[in-house]
Amino acid sequence: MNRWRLALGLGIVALVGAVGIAVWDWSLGLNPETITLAGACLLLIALSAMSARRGSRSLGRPPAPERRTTVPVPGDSLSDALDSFRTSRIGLTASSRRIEHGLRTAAIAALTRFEGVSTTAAEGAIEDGTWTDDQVAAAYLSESVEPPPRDLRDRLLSIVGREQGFRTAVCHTAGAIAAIPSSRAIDSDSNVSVPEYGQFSTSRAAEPDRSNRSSPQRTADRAVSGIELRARRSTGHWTGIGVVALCAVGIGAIAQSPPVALAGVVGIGYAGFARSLEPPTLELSLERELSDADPDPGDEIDVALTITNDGDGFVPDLRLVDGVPPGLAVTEGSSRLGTALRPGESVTLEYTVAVGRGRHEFDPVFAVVRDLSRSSEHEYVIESDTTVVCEPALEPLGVRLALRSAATARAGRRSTDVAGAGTTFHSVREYRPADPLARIDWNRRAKTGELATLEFHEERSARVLVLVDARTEAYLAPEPDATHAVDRSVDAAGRIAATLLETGDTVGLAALGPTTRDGTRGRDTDLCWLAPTTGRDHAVRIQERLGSHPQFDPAPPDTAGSWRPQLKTIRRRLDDRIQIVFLSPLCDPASVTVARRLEARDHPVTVVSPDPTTDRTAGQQLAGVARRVRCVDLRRADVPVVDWQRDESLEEVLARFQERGRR
Amino acid sequence: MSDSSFGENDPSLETDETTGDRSPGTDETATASPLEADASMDSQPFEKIESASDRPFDAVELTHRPSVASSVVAVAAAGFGALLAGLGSVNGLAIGAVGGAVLGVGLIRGHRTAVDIGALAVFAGVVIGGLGSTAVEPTVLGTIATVLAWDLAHGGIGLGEQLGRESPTRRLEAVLFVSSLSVGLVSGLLGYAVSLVGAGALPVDAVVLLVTAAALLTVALGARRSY
Repeated sequence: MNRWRLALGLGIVALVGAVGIAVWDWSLGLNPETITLAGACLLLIALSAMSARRGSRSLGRPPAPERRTTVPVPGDSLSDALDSFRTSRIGLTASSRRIEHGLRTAAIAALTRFEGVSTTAAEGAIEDGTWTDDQVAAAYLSESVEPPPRDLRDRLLSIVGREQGFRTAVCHTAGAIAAIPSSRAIDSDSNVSVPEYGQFSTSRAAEPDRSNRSSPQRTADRAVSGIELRARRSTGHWTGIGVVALCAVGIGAIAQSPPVALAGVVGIGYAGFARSLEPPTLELSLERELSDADPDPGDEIDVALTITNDGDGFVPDLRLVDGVPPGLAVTEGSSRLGTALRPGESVTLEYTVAVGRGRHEFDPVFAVVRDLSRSSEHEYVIESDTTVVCEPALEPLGVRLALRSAATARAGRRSTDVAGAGTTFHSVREYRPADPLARIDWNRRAKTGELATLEFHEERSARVLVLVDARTEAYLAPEPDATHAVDRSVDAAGRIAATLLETGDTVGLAALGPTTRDGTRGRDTDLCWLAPTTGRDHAVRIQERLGSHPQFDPAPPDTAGSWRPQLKTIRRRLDDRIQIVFLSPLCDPASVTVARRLEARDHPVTVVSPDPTTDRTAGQQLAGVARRVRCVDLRRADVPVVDWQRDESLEEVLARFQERGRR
Repeated sequence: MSDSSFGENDPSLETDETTGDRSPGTDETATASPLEADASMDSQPFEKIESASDRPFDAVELTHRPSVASSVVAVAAAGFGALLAGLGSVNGLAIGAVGGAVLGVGLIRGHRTAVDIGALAVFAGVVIGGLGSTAVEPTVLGTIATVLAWDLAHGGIGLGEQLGRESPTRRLEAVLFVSSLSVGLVSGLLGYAVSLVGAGALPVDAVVLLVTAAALLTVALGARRSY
């Protein structure tokens, strides 16, 4: 610090001297050689300064909150996908050659479920290599099968790296396993698609997907009050301007060229400019207006953020990033602004966002203020609370919902196996005195003269609990920022509840999953629970819970919660004869356990499963196979499973499910 | 799964499942075949209601490239600097033009080192031009133009990185351009005034002192601020 003060003082003295010589003809008696020497010294300083300035430029990286938060894709890592097979089956614990054993388990699981063969037969088929047409895959899982002859290119590649051949074999095997169910349904000429290898070693816990992006997705990870200064730094924008000054003056001195020497003065001017200013203290007031504070899911709303400079000073360089909540995506315009503000002046930033279901609170606004020369900057976060609540539209489905028969004593519109009054023919029985006239089979009476009574299916109502799987493991999507399984589940829960309420059934709502987002353990009372009942106000309550209950938060939780105590609480609250519609992507073994435990407690379960799997890599294909295996296992345990693909509407899939169940 | 009762919207199916038929006593309901059921399914395609789950969000992807206005002005300033260099010598023009091109390419690619090299080349052109002439004005103006080009180029790259091309930044860029230009003009004018007072050619002693002053001041002013 003192050094530069000394340099500054001496410099000023020298400058005054130079001006004095120029103006008042002072004389010091120096010769041109001295000047050349001084010039050379300056050039040397310039060169050393130039070599020192590399990499000194630093920029504050603003967060990128424009996109929705990303969720993992099922089967992101091959080892996780294989592990899920291992836990779903007993035995075959392998320490070495984990992948091979995992693939073998997967193949056996797929063969026994989809081809309907026994485990022994499946093992035999794998040993013979007859389970697939893919020679590479067959040879990989069996010692006795010769690998197919490889062409020259493959051989050369395998010399370069053994890893390559191994990867190819794993990909072929995964593709072959994924093709097992379709090999019977479709003709054999359908060629097996070989997936990419993808990542192997990274497990999901170790690699949160957000780390792939260079900047964080939230402007602040906690609430702020007022204006908070977060960082101050020098940007190094003008580093290197000294080089211009020194070079110009140095060369000018050596060559004794006044124009060039004077050019150096310009450099000195800029260097002084860079040093002399400080960013102003930020005093901003923000006001955010939404075109619709209560939109429907998928709607686009306009956001207008008005920024006013309440301070006395000119803010020459203000860069602002609005804290768009994780559940919103900017679809038009930009939520960032660069501007300058005079005192009292205000500007408005306008952009359009698409709103997803849920309760969205705007994060603090992120602002960077620089001085006029841009050589130093201050980073602020500014509080600005705005909340958008987007409740799912409770729109009844166009199809009647297929439920399992566990009816209540209350009259309703769901037909049961009990004979009595109703609209659907059940049977004919002998006439008993006091049977109503309308139910006597008059045709038979006319033909034979006997009296008989028609019986119909009694119509009662069902009591249904819609249970949404919102555990951390259920936040999965086919692409990181696509609509994830929990969003689809909640959407479906609303529509199923609406459909059931419309048909006079009683509907309740519950969820499994973390009740908080910050990792703290929530209490039992935080659980979403609506006991089955009917009525318009109940429908409104369901809509409210689906829209804003923390368990249905569209942002994935950071930590995995414990679902067992939650399930216990829900089971304690359940009455007899309540049946359950369980919405889960079925991408981990625990979801199957939930369904089977409820089924075992005499609550008939129907699983509606939005499919988040995809098939780009080997791990993703295997995750898809594991999910289909779970579906088959559940169906074998007499739990109907509605497999809801990504590109289907809920109505299509429920209608198809009904048709298939009937045959 | 025979115990599952499937509610539905189609009355022409198995008797023990049907609920939609509103005319009691008709026995025909039991005779419908699965084929007919398929046909009725096909004839009533379900209207696909768009809901949140069907519609992915097409989020805006910000273009993190140098902002257009700053880039254009920077290249123009570099070109102007090269032209002024050309007043002194043809070599200066050539080197300056090459530097301007490198700076332009650096801006297109968003490459900071290319911008630095390009600006240095333009400056070299200006210096060479200045060595070949006695007039002070073109060299001083050329230096201002070069520094301005370099400043705006880096500013544009920074704006692109931080805010993206889609964001409204014109006002900010205008303020920065004007402030930067005025600093250059004021300091250039000061230097020019000194040279005028010195009546064209400064005494040797004055030049040496000026040089020393420049060195010391630059070292002092160039020191990094410590936070």
